[in-house]
Amino acid sequence: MTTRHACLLVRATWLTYRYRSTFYFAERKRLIFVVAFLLAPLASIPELVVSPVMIIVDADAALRLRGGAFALLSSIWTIWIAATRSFVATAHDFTILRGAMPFGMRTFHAALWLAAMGWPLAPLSILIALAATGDVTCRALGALTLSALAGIAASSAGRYVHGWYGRWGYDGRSRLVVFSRSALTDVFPAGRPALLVRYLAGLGCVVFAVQASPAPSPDVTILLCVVSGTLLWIMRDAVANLLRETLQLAPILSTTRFLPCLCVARLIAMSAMFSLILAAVATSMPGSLWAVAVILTIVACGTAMLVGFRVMRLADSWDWVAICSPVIIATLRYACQS
Amino acid sequence: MPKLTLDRIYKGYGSRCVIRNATATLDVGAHLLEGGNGVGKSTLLSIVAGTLKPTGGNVFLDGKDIVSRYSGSGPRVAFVPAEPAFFEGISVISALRLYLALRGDVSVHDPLKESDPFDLRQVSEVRFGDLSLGWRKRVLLHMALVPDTDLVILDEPTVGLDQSSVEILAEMVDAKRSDRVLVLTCHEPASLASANLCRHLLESTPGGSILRS
Repeated sequence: MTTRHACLLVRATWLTYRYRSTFYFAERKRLIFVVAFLLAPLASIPELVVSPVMIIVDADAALRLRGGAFALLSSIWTIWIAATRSFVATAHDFTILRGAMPFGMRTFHAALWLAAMGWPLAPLSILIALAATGDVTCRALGALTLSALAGIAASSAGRYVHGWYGRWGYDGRSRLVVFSRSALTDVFPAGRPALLVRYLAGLGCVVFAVQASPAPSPDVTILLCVVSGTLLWIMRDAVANLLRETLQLAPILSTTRFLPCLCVARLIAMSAMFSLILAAVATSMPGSLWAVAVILTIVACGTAMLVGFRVMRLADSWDWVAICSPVIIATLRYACQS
Repeated sequence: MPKLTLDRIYKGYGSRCVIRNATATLDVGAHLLEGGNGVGKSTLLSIVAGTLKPTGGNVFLDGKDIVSRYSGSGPRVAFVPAEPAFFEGISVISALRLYLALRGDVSVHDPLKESDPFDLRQVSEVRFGDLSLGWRKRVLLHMALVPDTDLVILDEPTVGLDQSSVEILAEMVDAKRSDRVLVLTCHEPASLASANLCRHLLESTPGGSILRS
């Protein structure tokens, strides 16, 4: 492969990225206007833009504040991945090229896809490295390399594992088998880097919350409730994404009357996965059992509410009630005490 | 002269067998794959193109395994799917340049200079994403049929084309069948009658579709 080939591919990818994103945003003018109207004042203050990164690496900042900044960055990153995924065109999508391109060129373009999706990692890593130490070069390069390697490994390994899971999950002889298998397989992040990011974001939130909770107090309870609400939001969003992907893969499921049951099965499976993460935190961090128990209980209650709303076929806005329920509980408790 | 050999091709999805023991030898010429909806025509075409792995069996083009072309200078394959897709953000002329470059052809400044059967000159500066279905199909058909290729695979090539374009396609297929293997599916074979197609039937049976040449 020559430099000219690479330049042509990069140009085609970039122009298509620009074309698709322009088309998308032109369709959603009202949303863009609202977002721009809200974000423009914030973006006009440079300190606000970099403040989450500065807070994370500031050893003197309160731990809860650092946890909140981490959760904010994780959320922004997750939203970024979800929003831009459909803008990136890969040579693998175009059958006419798959028949003509050599294997090396296809591999190169797979890496290009990761670069297009992951470019915000570069300034982010450099910012963190700048703020953390004076040694910019080593830390920044190390962070960039690790990010790229993790993304490439997750994407390339996950593709094969996901293929196997897909065959296993959708080859059942009955709908019940398909439902249960797909509920089980879809909670694993194989083939879905965005889902892996969600689990890591959840784990990060829990770790920060547990570190900030040496003893039971109203403030700590509020923090734990906020973390639980964030976890529920992550779960709800992940389930919605998984459901969309499954319906594309197995259209027969979209016509079934058992669709709410499928949602419920996935929420329960996702809750089980988060319980495992919480158990791992409780085991690895001495003295965190109390905080983990509180988070686990609130997550379980929130999930039960989500499940209930799904069974009653109340979705969307009712989901938000379930997600906000931990915060409502914490606020009520705080109000009662004061 | 290239020769396409399908050697005991099986393809299944889980416990369901879609294609069973498809064996055939296709010489240079135009070959029409017929069959009803869902019998596995597109699946077989994808296997022949090397973009889908069969459960069992091999596909050889000129004695070489079709998959091995990725590892070196193997036979050249062009596959136009039913849904014409390409990078939407680049112009038609850039799309043709990119395709030729990725195939390893020498630098071509004007891909339409020597041959422009589908009259792409008038949309050469239009972005691929702004084209209608018919024009997109024309661009991909140009990519597959104009450059030198050993094997051309066309999945429903007439869908979206107007009558004059279908006639041009039939002329192109007829002209190119003397030096390459062309395999195509089409639910309106009468529209390509002038292309002198050799017919093969993919017939649905309880244990999976079988190929009758």
